[in-house]
Amino acid sequence: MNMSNEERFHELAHKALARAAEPTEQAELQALIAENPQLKEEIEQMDAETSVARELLPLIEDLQDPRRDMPQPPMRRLQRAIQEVFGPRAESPGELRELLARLENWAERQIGHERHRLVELISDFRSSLSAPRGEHVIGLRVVQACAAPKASRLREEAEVLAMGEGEEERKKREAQFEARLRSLEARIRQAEQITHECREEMQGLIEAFASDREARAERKQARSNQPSKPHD
Amino acid sequence: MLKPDIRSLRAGDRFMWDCAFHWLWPIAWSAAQRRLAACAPADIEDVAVGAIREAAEKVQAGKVESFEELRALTSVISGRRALDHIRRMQAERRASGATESIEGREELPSAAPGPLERVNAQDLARLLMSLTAKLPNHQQRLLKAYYLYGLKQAELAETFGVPIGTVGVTLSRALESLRAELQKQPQLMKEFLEALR
Repeated sequence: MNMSNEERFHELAHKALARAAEPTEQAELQALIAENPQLKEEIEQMDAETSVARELLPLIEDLQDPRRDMPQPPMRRLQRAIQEVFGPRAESPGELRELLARLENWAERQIGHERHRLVELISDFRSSLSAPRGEHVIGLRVVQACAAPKASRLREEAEVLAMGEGEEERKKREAQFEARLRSLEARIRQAEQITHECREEMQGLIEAFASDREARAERKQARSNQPSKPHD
Repeated sequence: MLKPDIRSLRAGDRFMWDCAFHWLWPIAWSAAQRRLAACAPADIEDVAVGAIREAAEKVQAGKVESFEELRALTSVISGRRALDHIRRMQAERRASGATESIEGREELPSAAPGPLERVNAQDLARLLMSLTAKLPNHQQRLLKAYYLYGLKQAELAETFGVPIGTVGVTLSRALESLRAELQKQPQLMKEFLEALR
């Protein structure tokens, strides 16, 4: 089949599949198929794929190009729905346990006193899983965030340590490590407190904004329901 | 708007969910609106909220691997819930002996689930993700214009500034790309073709 025949076949085939082909075009398509019997199979396959495409295209459209005339998201309803799904606690204990296990794996790859302190710290966190909301949970994220970029530096320092330094120097280094871990712990607690306060404040702001919008909508509705005064 | 991370959503992080609503709401609302605009416009919000809640349950159960998948899944769930809603309305009308038809009845679904409703929602969501990511943009636009909006090939040739012969060939290539994506999920393809028969 030459190029123009091929183009013509595709043009006619899509017309036929869209049920938009004229009788003469139908006849032309049949003639092309008679000349090239393999086209029959091709058009049958296109028919099945077109049916699938017709089903999928609206979904693709909703996903890629949602309508622009939609109302604002009903935040309070959505927040209530999410609360019903996840319950009153913001963080999932399963997620935290998974995170702790990953931290523990990382800590076990560390060496010396640093490893001991990290394992101890993780153990403290593990026992705090049942603590009230906001107490230790955020700290884990901070530990994770802090640990990743600093891990290699800490490991390098520890390796330098191991290479032939004196007993006194080693003790001094360990004391420094300990002081830094204590500082890290203190900063975690501080960050935890700040994050908790920010979260509460943000929640309050979102609720206040939603109430304000609802009140405005109600006032507007009430105004539009009022009968207009007759002219004198 | 901040694009949420699926791990934070799985952990039930409220702030991240508030961000997610701004991404998911347009999708859920559009999918519900497409089916309910003619017969139950007042119920679009309920259906869209229900869809986001159902999608959140899947996130919590650890069944959703990425935020992109969550977006696609929300679209699938919202569309299905809208169709179920219409079927419930029809059943209630039949049960109450009402004889009047509901508006837009020509677009109402049949009592049996359609091809898209018979396949696994998550498989379908993943297919949508891969199609939106891999199908070239001009092929997607052409497919939508021809098979969704019903434009003629001559109109497409004019709109896209291509010869009419190219329109048909490009449509066929778009179908080939669709086939290639479907072949990556043979089970889904099989279910689809069975449902379409």
